[in-house]
Amino acid sequence: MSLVKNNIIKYIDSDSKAQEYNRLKIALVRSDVEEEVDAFYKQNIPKSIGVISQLYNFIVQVYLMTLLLMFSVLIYLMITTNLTLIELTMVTIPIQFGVMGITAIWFVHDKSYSNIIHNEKLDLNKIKIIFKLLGVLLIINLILTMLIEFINIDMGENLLLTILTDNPEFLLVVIPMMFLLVAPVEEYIFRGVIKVLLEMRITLR
Amino acid sequence: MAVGVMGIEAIPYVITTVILGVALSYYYEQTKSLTVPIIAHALYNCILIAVFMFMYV
Repeated sequence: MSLVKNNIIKYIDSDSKAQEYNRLKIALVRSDVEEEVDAFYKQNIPKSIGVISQLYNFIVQVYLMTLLLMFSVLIYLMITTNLTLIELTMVTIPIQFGVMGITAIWFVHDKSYSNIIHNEKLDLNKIKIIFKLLGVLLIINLILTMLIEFINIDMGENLLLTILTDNPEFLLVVIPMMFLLVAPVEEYIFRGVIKVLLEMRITLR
Repeated sequence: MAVGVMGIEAIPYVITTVILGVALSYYYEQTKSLTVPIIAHALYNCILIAVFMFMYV
C-alpha cells in the first residue's frame, strides 16, 4: 500500500484536480481497500472541495430563507394593511438586501475562506480606472437608450424612476442608499461569493 | 431571459449590465479589492438615475 499512498500524496501535493483524485480512488476501491482509502481521503481531502460544497449549501439555504421571509412579510402586510405596491416593495427589498448582504459580507471576511476569497487593501493609484470604466459604460447605455427611443419602442416604466420623478426629495434617501447598501451588498454577493464559487467549481471539474 | 420576460425595452439594460458585470469583475481581479467595484457600481447607479431623471423630467 505504501506505493499507492505515495501516489495519492503526490497527487495532493501537486494540487491535482478532483477528477484525477476520484479516478485513483475508484481504482483503489476495485482492489478492496475501500476503508483504508476512505480514511486517507477524509484526512487529506483538498480543503477547497469541502469549502465549496459548504459555501454552496449555505448560500442556497440563506437564499431560500430570505425568499420565505420576504413573502411572509409581504403576505402579512397585504392582509393587515392597505399599503400600495410601491410601499410594499420599499418594505420587502431592504429585507432581501439586508439578509443576503450580511451573509455575503460575513463570508468574505471569514478567515477560514481567506485562501479562496481575496479582499486586499486598495492601492489608491488604481482608483483612477473607475472613471474610465464609468465613462465608457454611460456612453454605451445612452447610445442604446437613444437608439431604442429612435425606433419608437416604449421604454416601459422603472419603479424607482417613477417614484423619484414624482417625489424628488427621495433622492436624499436613495443616493446614500446606493453607496451604503445597494452597491456594497451587490458587489459582496456577485464578486465576493458567486464569482468565486463559479470559478472554483469550474476549475475543480 | 430578461428580454424574453420584459420585452425589447430590456435590451439596453441587459447589454449594459453584462458589460458592467464583466468590467467590474476584471477590475476586481486587477486590484484584488472589492472597494473599486463598490465605488464604481454606486457611482454608475447614481449617474444613471441623474441622467434618466434629466431626460424624462
